[in-house]
Amino acid sequence: MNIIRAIALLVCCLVAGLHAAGARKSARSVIEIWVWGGPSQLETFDPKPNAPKDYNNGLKAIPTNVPGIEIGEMLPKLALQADKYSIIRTMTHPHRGHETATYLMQTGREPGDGKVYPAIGAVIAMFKAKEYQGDIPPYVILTIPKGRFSEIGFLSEEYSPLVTGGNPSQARFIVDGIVPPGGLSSKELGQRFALLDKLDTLRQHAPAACPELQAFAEAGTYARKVIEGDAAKVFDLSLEEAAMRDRYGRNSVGQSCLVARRLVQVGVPYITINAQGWDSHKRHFETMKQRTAEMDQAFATLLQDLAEKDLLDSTVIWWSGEFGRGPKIDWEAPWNGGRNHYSKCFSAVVAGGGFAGGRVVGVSDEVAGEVVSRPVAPQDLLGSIYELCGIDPDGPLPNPIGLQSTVLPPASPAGRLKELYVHSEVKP
Amino acid sequence: MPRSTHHFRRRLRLQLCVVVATLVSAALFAVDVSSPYRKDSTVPVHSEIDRILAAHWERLGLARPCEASDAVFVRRATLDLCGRLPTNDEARDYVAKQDPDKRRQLIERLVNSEGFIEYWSLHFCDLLRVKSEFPINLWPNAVYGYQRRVQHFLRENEPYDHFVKSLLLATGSNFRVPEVNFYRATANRRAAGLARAAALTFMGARSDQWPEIEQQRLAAFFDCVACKSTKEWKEEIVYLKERDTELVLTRPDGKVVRVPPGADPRQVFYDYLREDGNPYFARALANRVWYWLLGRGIVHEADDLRADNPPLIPELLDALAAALVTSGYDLRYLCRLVASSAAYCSASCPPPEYAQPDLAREHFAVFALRRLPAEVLDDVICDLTGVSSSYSSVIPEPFTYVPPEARTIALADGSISSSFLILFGRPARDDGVLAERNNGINGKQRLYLFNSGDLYRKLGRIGQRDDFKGRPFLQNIPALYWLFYSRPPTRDEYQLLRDEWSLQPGGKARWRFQQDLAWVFINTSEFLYQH
Repeated sequence: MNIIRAIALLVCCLVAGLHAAGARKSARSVIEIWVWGGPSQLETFDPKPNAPKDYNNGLKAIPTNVPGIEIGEMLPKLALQADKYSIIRTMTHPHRGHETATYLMQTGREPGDGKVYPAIGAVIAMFKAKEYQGDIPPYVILTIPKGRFSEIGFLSEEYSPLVTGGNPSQARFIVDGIVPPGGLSSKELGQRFALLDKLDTLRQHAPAACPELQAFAEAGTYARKVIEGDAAKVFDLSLEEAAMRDRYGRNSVGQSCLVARRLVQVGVPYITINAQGWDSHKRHFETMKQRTAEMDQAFATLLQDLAEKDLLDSTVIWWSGEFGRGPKIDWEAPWNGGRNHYSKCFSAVVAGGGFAGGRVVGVSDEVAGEVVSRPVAPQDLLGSIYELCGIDPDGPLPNPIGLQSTVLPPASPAGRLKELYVHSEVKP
Repeated sequence: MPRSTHHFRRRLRLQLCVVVATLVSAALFAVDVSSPYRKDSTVPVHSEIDRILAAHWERLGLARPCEASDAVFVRRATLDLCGRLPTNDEARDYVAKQDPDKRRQLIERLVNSEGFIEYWSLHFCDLLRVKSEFPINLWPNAVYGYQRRVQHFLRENEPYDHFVKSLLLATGSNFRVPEVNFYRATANRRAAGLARAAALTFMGARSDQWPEIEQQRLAAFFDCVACKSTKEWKEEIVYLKERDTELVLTRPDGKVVRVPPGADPRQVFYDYLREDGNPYFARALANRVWYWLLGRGIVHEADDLRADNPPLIPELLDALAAALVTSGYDLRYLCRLVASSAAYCSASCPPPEYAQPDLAREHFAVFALRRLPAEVLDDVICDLTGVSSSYSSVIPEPFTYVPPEARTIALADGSISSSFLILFGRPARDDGVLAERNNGINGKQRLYLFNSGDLYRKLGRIGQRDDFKGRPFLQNIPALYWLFYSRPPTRDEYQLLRDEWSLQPGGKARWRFQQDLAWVFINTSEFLYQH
């Protein structure tokens, strides 16, 4: 016990030392809440209660626990956590198609130069893989792939995401491949493995040094370790108190956030929650009502839970879609009160891992349609996340195709989000 | 006394069982050779290709390779030429057949079947980047037109040069003239991007590695190509820009060509490709076909032809390219030539005394193992279990419906979302390099195969196959082996399974054991690999 205390004290001293020097250890994990389809800035983090009804549909803004910051009335729980996150109200880029915008927001690169760059998740997985060393792959997506482009780009396959599939809001979250499907005990599985060892006749006849079969055996050893070891427990939500599951909300987004927290606890470097259903061309407000309720509870609980568990400082959370939505509501049929794609000015949220909370970056105009001050380009948002993770966005991007490239293109003139960094310097 | 009688009876019963089993197995198995994967004979040397290979092996001091067994060969050829496993009957008939000409007949039958059209259109659609979404953005109706054009080329056995000409010289609507999609299927639609695509596709060369000046010279051939949109949603017209001056272009071989106003500079590029002695055009296809059938190009990587990346066996590539030209650019002829070569019928598991198997593998004297490609693996599992995978594409709109009976190898659109296909290395079709397809193995794939609910559901249906239903398990063992491996079980395998079966106490355990066995088979290297 004394030894543990001594170590703890030593760690505290070291951390304090770093703090004193104005530096901090880089963030260990990133949780990306990908708001697939493009969330409306007006109904979330950039409300315009004084705009005409054709813009805000009469919706109000509510105060948060940070004086001077207001957010949309549909997010009451997040209003109570505003000290933990900062809002960027002036994200901007020129792409209004899902696929090009997704590519830009995920890679920081303009589409169309002929190369497909890797998404931030794969890049961080690559940089963090060495220090991580866990059995769960370093990049996990809950629960379905983004599907717009190949997220590993030209990086090697080992950094491709583990896509969980399954539904975490069910009693048992079955992660395809990791959690054995119903009815098979570990003993029965063991019998299968034993039989497999005896019956793989080709392996007994192939040349001993056959490289393909060596890779096959190694992959098998890894997979068995995951199945037979403790790794799969990270997805076992029955190990959480029922009250905790309730707190996050018993829906896919809520329980995905809970799984994300558990993945952070075991050190997985990058987790994406692919939140569905925000592409609200039609009947926008009905859709928002349900989406925001679930998102509000899930996101607010995630922030609070991470803070309670002392994980917020080492975990970057970012929340964004590929773009926002048009400020003016389309009341005509077939839209019947819809909002279209809009990328000139939209909102994103960052928290934890060295991002300060309780701040707002940028000012949008009276309808959240134009950037008034402090534009933030996609590569500046991503560059800031990289910096807090101890990865130099201007440094080389190692890759198997021999391409000379930096991690990101140069920052825009407005620059990365230095105004949100808690510490002036980050130690890798 | 009663006890010993009982004991005696049991022993008698056991012995009887053994006798019966031995009789049964004698009937089921041919003479048990040392390996089910090879013959005792060495590969025959028939053609000029074979003589080049044999001479090459001799120079390296490699012994003449062992021939793959008939069972291995029928599986290998059916997988590579048609993207599926042989049926139970196809495999048995081929192995049983005594005709010395049977290999040629098999290849002939396979390249003339619908499976060849489906599977090889997958190869060509990879090269031609057939995909509706980012960064290619062809849009679904163009994707289907483009794939049908590729299938037409294969179905009619259209001369390859003719097919290429139709792509290179195409103009018109992306929805009405499928060939123009060659120009639209590029992530970079400026002249430089089009030139890069043309060099990669038709010259097997990576022009982005060329000196800047050579890249610009090639791009100048494609400066004339432009796109404009119409009033139809996502329709685009590929057209040639008007030009009233003469163009002076430099071909990749340095020859300067004057192109008068009104003439199509792309024709000049095509003429260059087709010219006698062009070091790229025919060789690029020959090398790719070799790569698709043998797993590694004679030039490696197989689409990186350049002066400082010489072929492993230069005479071999020259001979294949020459044969392609002489045949009138007949793709099927080239496939037949490669599939009947000594390299293609060599064993993957040489006898233990065979020296330097690693060197031999590198030089095509030992057949290299390859994991089944994603789409083939999916089809094979569906064929075995009778449960098909369903695909649809929700992006982009309008949603694409794919009928459940459609084969996965025939999926037109590289953008169709599928965790399975992504996991098993389906190519992104972003730039069309062969290395986009990843047939390597990894832990996540083996996790899926060990433990996926999706796969469990499919395997659970295997006992429902008409040929298994209602038959005693032991009788199904040979059929299982033929289905999964295109061969009968060896005596050891059969005995092991019989023993394991007898250990299963009752109905439920026995039912489970059959599931176990299907699971085991799916997870063996013999099943997962082309060998």
